[in-house]
Amino acid sequence: MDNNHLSKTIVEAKNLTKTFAIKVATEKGWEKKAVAAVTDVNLTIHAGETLALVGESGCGKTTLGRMLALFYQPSSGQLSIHGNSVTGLKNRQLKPLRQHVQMIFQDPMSSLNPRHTVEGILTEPMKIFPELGGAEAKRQNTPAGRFEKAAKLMDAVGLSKADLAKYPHEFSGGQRQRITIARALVLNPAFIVADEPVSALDVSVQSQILNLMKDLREEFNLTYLFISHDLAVVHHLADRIAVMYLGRIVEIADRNSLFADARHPYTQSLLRSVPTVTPNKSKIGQILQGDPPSPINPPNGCAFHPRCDRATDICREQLPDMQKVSDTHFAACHHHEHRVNTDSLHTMADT
Amino acid sequence: MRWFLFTRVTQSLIVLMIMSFVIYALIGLMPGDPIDLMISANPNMTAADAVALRELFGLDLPIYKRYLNWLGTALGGDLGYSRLFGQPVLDVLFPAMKNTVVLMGTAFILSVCIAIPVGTFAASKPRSPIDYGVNLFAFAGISIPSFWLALMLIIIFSVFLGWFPAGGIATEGAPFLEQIKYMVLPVATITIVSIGGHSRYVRSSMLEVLRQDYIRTARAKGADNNRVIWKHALRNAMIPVVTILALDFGFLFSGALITETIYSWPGMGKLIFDSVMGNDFNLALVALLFATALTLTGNLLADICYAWLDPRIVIGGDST
Amino acid sequence: MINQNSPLFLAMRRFRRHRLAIFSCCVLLSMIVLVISAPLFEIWLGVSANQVDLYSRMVGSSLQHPLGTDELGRDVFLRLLYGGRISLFTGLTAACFAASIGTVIGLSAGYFGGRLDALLMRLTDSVIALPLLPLLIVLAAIDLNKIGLPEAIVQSEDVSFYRIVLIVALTGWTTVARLVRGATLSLKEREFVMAARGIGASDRHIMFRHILPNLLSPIIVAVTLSVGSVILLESVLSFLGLGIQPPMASWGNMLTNAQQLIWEAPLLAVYPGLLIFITVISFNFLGDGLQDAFDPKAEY
Ligand SMILES: Nc1ncnc2c1ncn2[C@@H]1O[C@H](COP(=O)(O)OP(=O)(O)OP(=O)(O)O)[C@@H](O)[C@H]1O
Ligand SMILES: [Mg+2]
Repeated sequence: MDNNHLSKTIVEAKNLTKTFAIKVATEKGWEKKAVAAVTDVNLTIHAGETLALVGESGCGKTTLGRMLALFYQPSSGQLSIHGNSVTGLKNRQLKPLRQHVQMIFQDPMSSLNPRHTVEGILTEPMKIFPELGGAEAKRQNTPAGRFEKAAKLMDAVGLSKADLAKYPHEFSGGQRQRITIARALVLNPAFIVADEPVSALDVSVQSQILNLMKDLREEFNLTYLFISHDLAVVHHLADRIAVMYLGRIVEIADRNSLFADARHPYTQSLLRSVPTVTPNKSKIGQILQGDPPSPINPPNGCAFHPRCDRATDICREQLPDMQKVSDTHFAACHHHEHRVNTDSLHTMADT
Repeated sequence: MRWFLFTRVTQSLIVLMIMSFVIYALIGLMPGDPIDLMISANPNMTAADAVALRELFGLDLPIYKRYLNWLGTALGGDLGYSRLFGQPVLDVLFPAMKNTVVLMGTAFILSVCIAIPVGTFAASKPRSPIDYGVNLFAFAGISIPSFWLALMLIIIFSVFLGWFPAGGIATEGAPFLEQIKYMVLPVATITIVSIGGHSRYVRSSMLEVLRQDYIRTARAKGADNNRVIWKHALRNAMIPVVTILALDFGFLFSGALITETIYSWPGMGKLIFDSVMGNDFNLALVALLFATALTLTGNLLADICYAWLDPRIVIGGDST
Repeated sequence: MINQNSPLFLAMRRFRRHRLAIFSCCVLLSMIVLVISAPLFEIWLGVSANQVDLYSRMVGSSLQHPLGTDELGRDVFLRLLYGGRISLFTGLTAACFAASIGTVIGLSAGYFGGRLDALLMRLTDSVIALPLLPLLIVLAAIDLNKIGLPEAIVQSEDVSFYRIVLIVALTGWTTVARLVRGATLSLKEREFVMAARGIGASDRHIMFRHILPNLLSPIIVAVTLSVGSVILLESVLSFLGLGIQPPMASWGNMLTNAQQLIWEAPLLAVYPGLLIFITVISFNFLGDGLQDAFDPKAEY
């Protein structure tokens, strides 16, 4: 990948934070609490790259992804997409920006309207954006032109034109996910947020979809934010990987240095839990134990310290800053110099 | 719980206040007005007298002022005179209310007493002829026009067989059997209409309970099936039934209107109908307000029963 | 062209297994055909429905009068057909009207949530908690001159029809509103709604193009079930002299006269009520069958 291409930023997030107000049942009745789903996230995504976002369930991946896909209004912080600041914009003002960002959802059954045919689903975005594209595109935005484009997209995602007349329930899970991918492409977006796009699918189908996404990335010049809780899945696709823990990004690095030289103890334990082909290879340290703390009452200091076997006093008191490991590798750990050999896993996954 | 009670009661009171204004305004829109009626009763009155009278009664004021005036005197205990009966409104209302309670109460108790065993039996033998019978009867009950059912009963039992009077009520102090005679047809009408629905409520809440784990365990352990159903399950199935019945009781006051009118049973429903049709503004207003208040109370009771009996409902969960 | 796999088509296939509902459907269809062809029967029998014949009052059935005549010598059979027209038409119109109001209210409450939802649901609860029939009687008794309607409308023949449709719709929307709100609450959490927002759809577009089509089955069920209760309500009000006004016939107001003649001609009271009963129970069976057919658990 040439540097020239990388220089253009698609997403720029500064101190991005999202808190939800919820009601919790206590002995005294209902009490209002704030859930810090995402806290102080700084992130830059460049055109053409694929950034993977990993972490356990509940750490805020979906929430961050939905903020970047313009579904959630950030509680604080700045966000700009495609060079446009989106902070504080109303739904109506966001509309012109939506063509640049699209989302692929986790559950392909729930994300397709059961009452619409595939043709209806794929042509709808063009009807909502009649002004999109150049004069040529506008001229083709007729029923026939829209059908043509829908047919082309069906072809691109490996389905047939004849399937356009069908309803979602007539397809298998993998085929439905192909349809949601096609829908995400209709408006020619630059950036796609894929929220665990394969985790609802059979293992046999997962790699087909991942390969499709890989191919489409080349064909349509896409930039991905690829959310997953599984490092093995991410390995196929990601250029860079960001690891989230309890609403914060704790480590971010290019793929090779993350797999070879993870510095955050949380990343290291994630890597250990990746199934290996050679199970007897020595594993250093322990696989993660216990549940993550609640985002309603996060612990003081480093949020990971209750589960960390390396934790010292400073970890209990002071929130670690992002430390630079190399030009492309940052980790938020007071003990980031501590290295563990996870390279074996990397070579495994690379083959 | 206290908070829940407080909000529900205030809410009902607010609705009652709003409805009192709405009803007041609606009554004002009925044909004719009190002064016109006076004029037609007294040929010596002139147009000037009418205007003077209108002013005297405050009828030329805007509607909300008239309403506030009325509300003031009403809250002071003066609900006015009934034109049709020539008596204070409450003196007319209370005997009517008593008659309605007698009629509806009898029908209600009868219906529930039949519905509980029938519904339980149907639930204990799903898909049996009895089960289908209950279902069919419930459908018939909600589909039959009750005034027509009343007419049919009159045709059969009064016109052809001559067993029961076609309407009216026994005079005060008549022998008990005589009083019963007048009640049979109206009570039968209401019971027939409501019994199917009641049985179905019992049946479905019974089925719900029978599906629950502890009942299944008891049955699997070989406990006597009938004992399980009649002793353990029935008690638990009564929770939803009680609330639905409480709800129903509120509606009974308005449901009685048709039956009472056809059988000339001098209850609340007939009173409302007669006062509306006879331009008896004071009586119609107060009777309607009472009916509204009673129905609201029935609903309130149903809500409270439900919240009180069912621990799963977390009270206040939906506000804000 | 009907898509053989559309969700509605699949529901229809399930519906066909429901024998009682199928039978009710046939009953209703033949009833509709009968009342529509009422003028043909007039020609065939050689009398018209409102033709008074004081020389043959309350006669029994004959070739010329299949079900006899009423107290004015009018043909009962023909009047039943014309009454059926009114009753069915009123029922369908008012039920659809009420359902539209209920849908808009329930959809807005469920979709927008928050204060609007709380307000609309309190309103719905309050309307449900009112003694409907007595209030409807007052509404039906209102003097239209007093609310400032022009004389031409007040005097027109159809005014009793419009009035009853309006009255029923004003009070009958609550069931649909609750139902639609509940369904909307769960539908709006589905990801296709978010996906629609993602392609730039407006709130209105999402409500009417994405959520509403998914509400179609519960709405159809609710309308079918409420047609029955609307017909009952219309017949009660007409019976009490507050609904459809004579000489226009409706099943309800035919019973008013029959009640007065119950000693002389009891049969006159049987026919209209029987027809109401059959119609209403058919709609209820039909609605029940549709409900089973549309059961969301069997959707896919
Ligand atoms: N709409 C919401 N209202 C209240 N709390 C929410 C909401 N959405 C998410 N949360 C909370 O925010 C936290 C992060 O949730 P999020 O869905 O972003 O996690 P996730 O990493 O995507 O998890 P998963 O892997 O299970 O999808 C969780 O504690 C969750 O309970
Ligand atoms: Mg998620």
